[in-house]
Amino acid sequence: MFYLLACLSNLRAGTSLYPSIVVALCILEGLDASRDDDSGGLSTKKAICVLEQQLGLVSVILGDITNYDSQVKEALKQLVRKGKSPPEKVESYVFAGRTEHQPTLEKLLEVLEFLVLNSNWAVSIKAENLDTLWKIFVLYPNFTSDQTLFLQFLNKKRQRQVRNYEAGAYSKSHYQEVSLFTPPEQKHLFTQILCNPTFVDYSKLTTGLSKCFHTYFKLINREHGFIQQQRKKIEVTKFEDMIGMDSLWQISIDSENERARDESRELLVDIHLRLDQSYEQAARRGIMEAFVDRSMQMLLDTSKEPRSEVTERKSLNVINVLAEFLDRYEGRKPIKPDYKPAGMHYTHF
Amino acid sequence: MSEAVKKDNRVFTDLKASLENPESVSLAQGEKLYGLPVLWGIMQDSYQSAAELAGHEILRVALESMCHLLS
Repeated sequence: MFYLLACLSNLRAGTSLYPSIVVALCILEGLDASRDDDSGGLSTKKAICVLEQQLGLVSVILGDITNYDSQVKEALKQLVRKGKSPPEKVESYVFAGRTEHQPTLEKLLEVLEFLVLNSNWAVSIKAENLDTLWKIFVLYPNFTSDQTLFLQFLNKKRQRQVRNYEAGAYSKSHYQEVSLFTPPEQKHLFTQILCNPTFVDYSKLTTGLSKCFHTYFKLINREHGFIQQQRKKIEVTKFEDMIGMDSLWQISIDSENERARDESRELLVDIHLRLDQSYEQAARRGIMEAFVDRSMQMLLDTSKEPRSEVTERKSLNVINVLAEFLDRYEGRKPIKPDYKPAGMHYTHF
Repeated sequence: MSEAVKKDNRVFTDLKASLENPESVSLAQGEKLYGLPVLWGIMQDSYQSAAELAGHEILRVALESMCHLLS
């Protein structure tokens, strides 16, 4: 226990971060491994909960991340002041302490993941901390690699082993996909961050950021019951309530990143065409017509703006959105006839 | 409940107080002290020694050994 306390003491002081996290995780993991049910000893989960309740460990780690970020920023300023160029390989540069940049960040994110998953979500990252992490890693990152690292952390697929107890025996274990965030945190991340133009510049979207948007777009709308998803196929059950549609339109039209734009356009078209059977023909037709009307209105608006590279790209993207829609409606790879309003051809739009 | 478990639980009852006096915890529990303080010292940011002992490799080795001993 002495070394766990020593690690906590370091983390509270913001020093020796990397080794302290490694040793602390090693001790915490060991609690479950060395414990037998009758001993009355602490489990890993219980220990994490106590650490959070008494010391606010998640906030301590967030403080360490913020502090480390400031140290890197200051180190970079010092380099500029001395007329030196920034390090070529930032990942392996030591900005603070004795550990390289990338492993330090990885370990700081890893400890957050460890606390949440091993406490079975009794401890969580909290919505307000997501804003802080987003600002540090995505909005004002020191390096592109920091942003990539954080987006990989968000996009990472996590699984846990599940064994059901039925009729006095455990069933065969299977893996279940889990999210690092609680449902309110997921919603905050999507509605307050990913759909917020002050947090995300849609024109400068990276592929990782676009993937993150798509993941949470599907997750949130699925959890609200607005879409159903089987593997990659989507069926829309409540089109009018869907969250994040304006942002999806914006990405499809404004993004300079080809892959982000193409994948968003595909998803956007999918959502307008794959309406479930509860939609009557008239409602289905109305949604499809609204899609074409919105595209045409965007074309009209763009044509009124002074001609520039940006407006030309925007017009082209709108045309691509329309073309994709028509192609998917009855082009080379048309949607199933069940999804089309009876007897409606694209010439009717 | 063993004596060691009782002491562990006591540490967690008031972590802030335990943090103020970690040495007493260590001695009370009779942890395997031999070598560990040296390894712990090597891993600290404040560790100062000859250049060859301050590098990443020594930190990695010290960490691995420490985790091995603690687990």
